[in-house]
Amino acid sequence: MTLAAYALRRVVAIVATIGILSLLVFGLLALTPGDPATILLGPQNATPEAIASIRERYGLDDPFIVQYGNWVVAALQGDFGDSIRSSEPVMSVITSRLWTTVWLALYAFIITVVVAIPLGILAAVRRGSWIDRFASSITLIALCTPAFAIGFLLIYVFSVQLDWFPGFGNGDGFLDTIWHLTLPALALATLQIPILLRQTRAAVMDVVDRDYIVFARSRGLSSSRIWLRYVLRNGSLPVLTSAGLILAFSLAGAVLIENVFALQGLGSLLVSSVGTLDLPVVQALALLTAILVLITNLIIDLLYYALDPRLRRAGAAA
Amino acid sequence: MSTDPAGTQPAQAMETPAEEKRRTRWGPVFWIAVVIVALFIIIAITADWIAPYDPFAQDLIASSQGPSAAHWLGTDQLGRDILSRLMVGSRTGIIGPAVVAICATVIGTLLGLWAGFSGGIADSVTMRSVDFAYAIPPLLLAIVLVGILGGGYWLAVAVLIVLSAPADVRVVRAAVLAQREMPYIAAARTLGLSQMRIAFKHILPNVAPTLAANALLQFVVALIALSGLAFLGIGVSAGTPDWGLMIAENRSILDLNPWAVIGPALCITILAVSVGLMGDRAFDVTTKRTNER
Amino acid sequence: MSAGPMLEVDDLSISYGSRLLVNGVSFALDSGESLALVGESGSGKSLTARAIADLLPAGVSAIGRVLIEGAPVRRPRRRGRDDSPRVGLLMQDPFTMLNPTMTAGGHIAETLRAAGRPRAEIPAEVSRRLAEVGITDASVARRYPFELSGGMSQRVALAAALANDPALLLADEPTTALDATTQHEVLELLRQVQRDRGMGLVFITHDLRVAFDLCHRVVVMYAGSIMEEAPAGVMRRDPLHPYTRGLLESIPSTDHYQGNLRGIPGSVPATHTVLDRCPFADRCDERVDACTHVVPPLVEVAAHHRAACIRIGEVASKTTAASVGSTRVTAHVGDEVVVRVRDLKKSYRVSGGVHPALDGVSFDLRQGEALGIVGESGSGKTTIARCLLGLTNPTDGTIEFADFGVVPPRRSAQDRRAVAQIVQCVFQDPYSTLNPMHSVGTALGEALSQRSRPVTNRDHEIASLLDRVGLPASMATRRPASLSGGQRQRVAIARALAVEPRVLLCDEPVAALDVSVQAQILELLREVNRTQGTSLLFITHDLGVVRQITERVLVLYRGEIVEQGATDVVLDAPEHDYTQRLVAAMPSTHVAQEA
Repeated sequence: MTLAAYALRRVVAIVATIGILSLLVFGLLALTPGDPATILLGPQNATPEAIASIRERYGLDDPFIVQYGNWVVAALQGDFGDSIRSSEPVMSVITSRLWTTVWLALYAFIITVVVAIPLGILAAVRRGSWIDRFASSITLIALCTPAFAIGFLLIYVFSVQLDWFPGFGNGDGFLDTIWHLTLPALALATLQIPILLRQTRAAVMDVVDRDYIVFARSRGLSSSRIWLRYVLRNGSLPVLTSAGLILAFSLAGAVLIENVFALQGLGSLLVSSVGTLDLPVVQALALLTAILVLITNLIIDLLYYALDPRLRRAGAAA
Repeated sequence: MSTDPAGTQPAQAMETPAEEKRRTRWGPVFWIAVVIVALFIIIAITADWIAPYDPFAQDLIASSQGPSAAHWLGTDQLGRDILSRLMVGSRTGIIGPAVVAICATVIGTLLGLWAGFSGGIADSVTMRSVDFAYAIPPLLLAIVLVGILGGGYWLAVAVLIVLSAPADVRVVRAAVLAQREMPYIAAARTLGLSQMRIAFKHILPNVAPTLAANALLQFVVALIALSGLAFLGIGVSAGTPDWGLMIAENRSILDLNPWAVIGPALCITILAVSVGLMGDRAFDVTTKRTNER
Repeated sequence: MSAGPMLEVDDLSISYGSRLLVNGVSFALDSGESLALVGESGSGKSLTARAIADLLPAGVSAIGRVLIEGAPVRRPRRRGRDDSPRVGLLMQDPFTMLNPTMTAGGHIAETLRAAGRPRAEIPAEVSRRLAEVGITDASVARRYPFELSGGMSQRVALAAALANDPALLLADEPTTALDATTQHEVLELLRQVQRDRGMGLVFITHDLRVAFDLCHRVVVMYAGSIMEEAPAGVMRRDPLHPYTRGLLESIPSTDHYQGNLRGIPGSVPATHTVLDRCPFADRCDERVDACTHVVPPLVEVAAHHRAACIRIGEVASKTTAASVGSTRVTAHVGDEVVVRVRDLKKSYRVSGGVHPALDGVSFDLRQGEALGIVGESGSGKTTIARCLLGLTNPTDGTIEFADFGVVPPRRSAQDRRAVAQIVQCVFQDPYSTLNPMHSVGTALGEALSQRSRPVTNRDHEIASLLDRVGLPASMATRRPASLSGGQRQRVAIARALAVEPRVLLCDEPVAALDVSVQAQILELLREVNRTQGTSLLFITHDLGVVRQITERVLVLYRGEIVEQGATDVVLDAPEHDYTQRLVAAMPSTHVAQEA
């Protein structure tokens, strides 16, 4: 099966999944206790006239499927309705906060990759040494420490005591934003690094013991050749799959960290929307998050497919 | 050396005696972790008797004070004793996560066995659902569901059980599929043993150690998730002495009494790390032991 | 180029941490000469080869001298250093040896590049190298390892190993994972390549027969030390060391029936446990008191013939019983047909169509008979076993058991329990044939509980089962992890015998065991057949085993029976083309051959 055919199959599967998810997300409205109209208005505005007009505007008296259909059509055009709290269109609320989260995620990701992969490789190559044991213990502790605990610890040490970085807020302008995002990014990275480090270490350890490494060395291949074409090429496959895991992990962590550091990002938006039952926003965020996760997994699967010839020629006689 | 045919197999060659020792023994770190966890459990059980103050008793005169002789870890904004609240808070810190770990493991195991043995459509459907659940970050879904449905500790526990079980399903199903090809399973089938017997007496014992170690790690994840939910104001009701909630409640007095925040943060971290160390060590020891030839 | 031997190994000792694995090994090799390192598991032969190639695994260290062409072996650290490696290495499993993400041609090309060949020459050179190993199909170079057969991959690996023209090739069991016919081809190829290049060859194997066929000289290792070294022809005619003799006797002969399969009692010890004595003393028939107190030195006992035994002069060179045939002793074969298979078919669905694993197989098995099924991988022999045992459902055809009748294509739980009383199986891999979490007693007890004849005294029955297979009753409390391969297989046999089946199906039961242990198990199976009258359905690829165990044999090729008849007749005078090839491919034990 060619790469294109495989990609097509996966895309179809994802579209189906998104379809199901959108149905569930839309169904959140029905799940919420209380009358949908009152919820959408917010309890203070629930005058009978307002309720009647809301019912008409959102078609709340139409059958579920029709409501769902309308919602999907609007959603495909980027219209998720208006936020109950701020009365602004949901999409504009989201986009105003989008970049904070994106920068945070990117910043954390860079720190993670720069620290975890070299350390993971080193720990694997020097198995049993103090570096390896140190990395293992740090990994475990970091994995078990909750994000907000790390966040507060960082705030206490680096902001309250040392005053090197600000402990909250977004900042203005590029450099100021970077400065503000440093502690949050560090906190988020602390969650991601152990996962990537462990995966890298395990993948490299597995490869380094293999017969093909011994055979390659026996033929006089240079170390760099062996590293690139044998170790990394074969070891990167399992590390790729963990990238998907990292994304899922960091989405959850971002929520908590944005809260701890009072950042105006999508995570804190989700929490406040859930708290005020601002459903249109919640629905939009839930759906977009799911789409993001699915697309990331798709990209990883495609990369896997491209890198491992065995998947490509599935069905060829051995 | 006698002629006893029980000669030792030649060494597996790829492990020094020192490494082998480190691998098969539990190690001092493990036992320290066990002691710590035991301590937490004891405190959770006896909290009502050993806590110096009623965790709900307010004393507005003594609010937001640092550590003193009367209050070893100080008080919060409402004058409640931090130490007592930490002790009673160990209940929500242990019971909820434990329930999640145990229920998720049991449910996941049964589903995994069923999927692995049934094959065909039952297996496909189960695995599609598992993959689906895997795609969703558990904490996010918990936030959305629990928040919208009005919160509640046990609702959060239920949601986490549903989201943690897929991992067990995968592990058990993989174990079933792998072991079904083994000669000892073929021998069991040749002996005419029933599928149930094979599942529970032959396959499960081989995967049980991994499951147990995994359950410990699930405890950690659930602890962090539940504390996180409490921190965000979703989950336990306000006023409950819960570690996560305490951090959120007391963050405003971080400068007045840092222990009001550091105390609960440390409790969560120490318990999580201890159980995590236990699970990690258990994982190493049990999986390597069962892989020994 | 210095005068003197091309390869010189002097007092080489290898340890893992503090544990000694190879104990002071010395030998030498000239250019163009081939030497076989023979030994069972734990002998240290593979590690010795790795030490010569300077490619020991992490944590393993070596002391002593290894000189190639007079200079110590050293890995070139950087590209462009003076020597390209003078040693080539070929390992056992071609699929793990090759990079799964790289094409066959790519392996050869990268080696050529590393050796400094100009880029322009490389494509032509790759074709030339592939032709050298007998691959003329140009498309092979573009294929990935998983797309090639075992034999093809091994040839590619050989080409890659030879790409920088080493002076010495170390081949570590390169044919063990291959079929008999393919083995034969690859060995021929090795012999030819070595001759053409005037290369030195160190060939590691556990199979003495192959060593005699292929190499000029043979070195026999046991538990980390050399027991005997001699030219191949000399050692074949007149082995001096008790271990070598025992090893030769343990090999089931393909030429004639052996009345007594002796094997060597016990199993191989770990090197570090026998450092103060002759390593073989505990299992040796000729042992005297001094043998367990003194390390026998390796001394020259005849021209080019060394042995490490303090009793060499005293021990008479006995005519080994193995070289003399005996009349076949068979069990009493009744008239009742216990298993009747008619037109058995099994097909698997693969992408691109249907693959017939079995294409109409029919045979009868009578009470007390020992029937062999001979075939290589892909012949369908395992599929027959799986169909008989009910592990897979046949696509067509019938299986009929005495006392039961025709087995329905899909068996119910009741069917299975009933059939379990008739047929039991001994599987190939002793290391996964027992559930690692169950003690021996638990496994046997469970099997006993399935027997139709009720169990009165469980412990007593377990003990008697263990005794039946030559194990002490104390073994009941032990777990498989603490047992050797031979012991585990005995427990597996005991488990199969517990329900008192009429037929024992043996699927390559000794293929994964050390040679010295194989004969013990084979003798046990023979005895079960003779004394209890249990029928044997014996599946194997080894013609020597077939000769010893079975009186009738079916030859299976690509899902069909191509020849059948009395074992002696089929092996001595094969009619079908495939059978003839199979017989020709087997290295014979006792045909005289010049060194």
